[in-house]
Amino acid sequence: MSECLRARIRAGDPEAFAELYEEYARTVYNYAYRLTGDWSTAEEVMGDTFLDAWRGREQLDPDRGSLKPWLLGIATNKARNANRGTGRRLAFLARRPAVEPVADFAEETAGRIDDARRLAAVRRVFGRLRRTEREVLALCVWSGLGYPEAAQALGVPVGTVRSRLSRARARLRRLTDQQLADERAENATAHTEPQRRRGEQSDETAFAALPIQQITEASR
Amino acid sequence: MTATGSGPARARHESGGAVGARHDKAEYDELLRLLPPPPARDLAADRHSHHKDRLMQLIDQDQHTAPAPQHEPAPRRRLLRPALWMPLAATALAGTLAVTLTTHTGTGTADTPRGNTAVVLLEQVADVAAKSEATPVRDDQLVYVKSLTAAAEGRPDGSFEPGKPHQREVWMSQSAAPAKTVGLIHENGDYFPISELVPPGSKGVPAGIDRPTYNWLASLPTDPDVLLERLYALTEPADGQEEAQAVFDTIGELLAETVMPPRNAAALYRAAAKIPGVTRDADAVDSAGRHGFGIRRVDERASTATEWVFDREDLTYLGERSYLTEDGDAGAKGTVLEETAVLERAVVDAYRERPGSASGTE
Repeated sequence: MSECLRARIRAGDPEAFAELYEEYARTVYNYAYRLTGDWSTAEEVMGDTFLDAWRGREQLDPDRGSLKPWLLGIATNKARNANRGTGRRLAFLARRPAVEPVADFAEETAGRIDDARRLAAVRRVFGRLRRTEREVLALCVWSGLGYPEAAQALGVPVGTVRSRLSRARARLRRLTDQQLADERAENATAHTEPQRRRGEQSDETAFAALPIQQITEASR
Repeated sequence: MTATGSGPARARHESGGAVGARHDKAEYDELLRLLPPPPARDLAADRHSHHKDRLMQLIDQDQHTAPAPQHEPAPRRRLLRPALWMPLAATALAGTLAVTLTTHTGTGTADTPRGNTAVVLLEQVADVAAKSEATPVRDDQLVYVKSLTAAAEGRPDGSFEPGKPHQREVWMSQSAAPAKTVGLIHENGDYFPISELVPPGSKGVPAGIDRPTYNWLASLPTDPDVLLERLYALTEPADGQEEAQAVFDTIGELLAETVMPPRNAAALYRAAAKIPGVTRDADAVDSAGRHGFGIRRVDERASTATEWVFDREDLTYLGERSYLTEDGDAGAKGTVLEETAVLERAVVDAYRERPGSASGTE
């Protein structure tokens, strides 16, 4: 079916685009949200992605697998454009992770609160990664593309996807642990050691310079 | 043909098969643990239909007018600054300004008050630029720019921590042909290539408004009215952004990490003088602490100002900065969002080559 749809897309069959939209609008919308951190921007990106898909239909590779990498590649470009501009960039960095509605906090188990906190930490940390790292993470980890598909979406060699992911993983480990450590320190009633100020973590290079050991200890 | 299968739960499953090597699998699993998928959401039904209608209308329209797509869908690309993730200038969310929009057909300065000090200053800056020395650049060379730059980072409470100025070096490809790797950045101790993310099948981004090479800049009109008209045509404002702000920002980008013929630099300043809402700041400062005159435009909706700084004595370009113009959640009025001081511009023959260190014939 996918092969057939692909051929019809290339041929400019309007019905095929209607199907494409129905199948992938949600995927593109959520992917765009993960890159932009804003639902209304994500909606714009999603809408524009399909318009560009139509106009760029003849560049669709006639014989490859899923159409998803193609669409997410277009969406990546759109999201990059949407993220340009101080207002939006700042909004993205500043935005608190969306708080999921919780019926009753008292009934929350410690584990779930911990999960929610971890997710919030991840969201903040994600915003500190490099753009190229965020893109491969959003494609491979959150949108389920394989490495070759992500490479196809980004127009880079598979090796580049691998190296970006490895690098992102190393940075994520450091940043996530540090973020959690900071939050724990903040939430603790008594501090046994001087607390790091928030501002200190804004410089990534300062992060990278912290000995791993110190970070690990702080997070335990 | 439903969208229900594309959520994160299925995503995990799908990629399991595509991840080949054992090593990849271990890495993938760890990444998934470090980065749990954020909640997915459906678009509201009416919005979903709206965008589908838009698509179908476009298809309908294209099929009745132009049978074949003419150009690729690569979105407009601005000067890349991966480390900053955006151009220096504040581009988005420009709002309606309470100024009369000048026509962008270039018919004139009718809306620019005579004696406007910004216009006078820009004219002087343009005169200086016109008399500066020219270094023609070949397609196979690279433009090297060293700067001191800083960008604010968001704090979890929504406010901004101004960044610490640090050195940045870029080598920008001058090739006119489409390219996927268009430059190299050295920042925070790392070198990383400026790689364009282009749709599969695309050869990359050619020299142009998004990749302003010396020769492309040299090809621009030198009549300020004609140039301004061209810039309006080449600039695509972000949604809701005022065109004049977008064009002002575009000029700022063209002036930043580039080398161009004097006559073109002069024309850019004269074109900027014709943009409504541009004002003069008697005391502006760049990230290197150098004080001078500023040329500023305020984006009211985003409550930010973008300002170019010029040396008080010789009126040469020093740098650019943006800052908050009002107290708000993002921070106090005056908080610097981004700033750059250009320290050196040169033409070199190879990546990682610095002026003066060349083994070749510089």
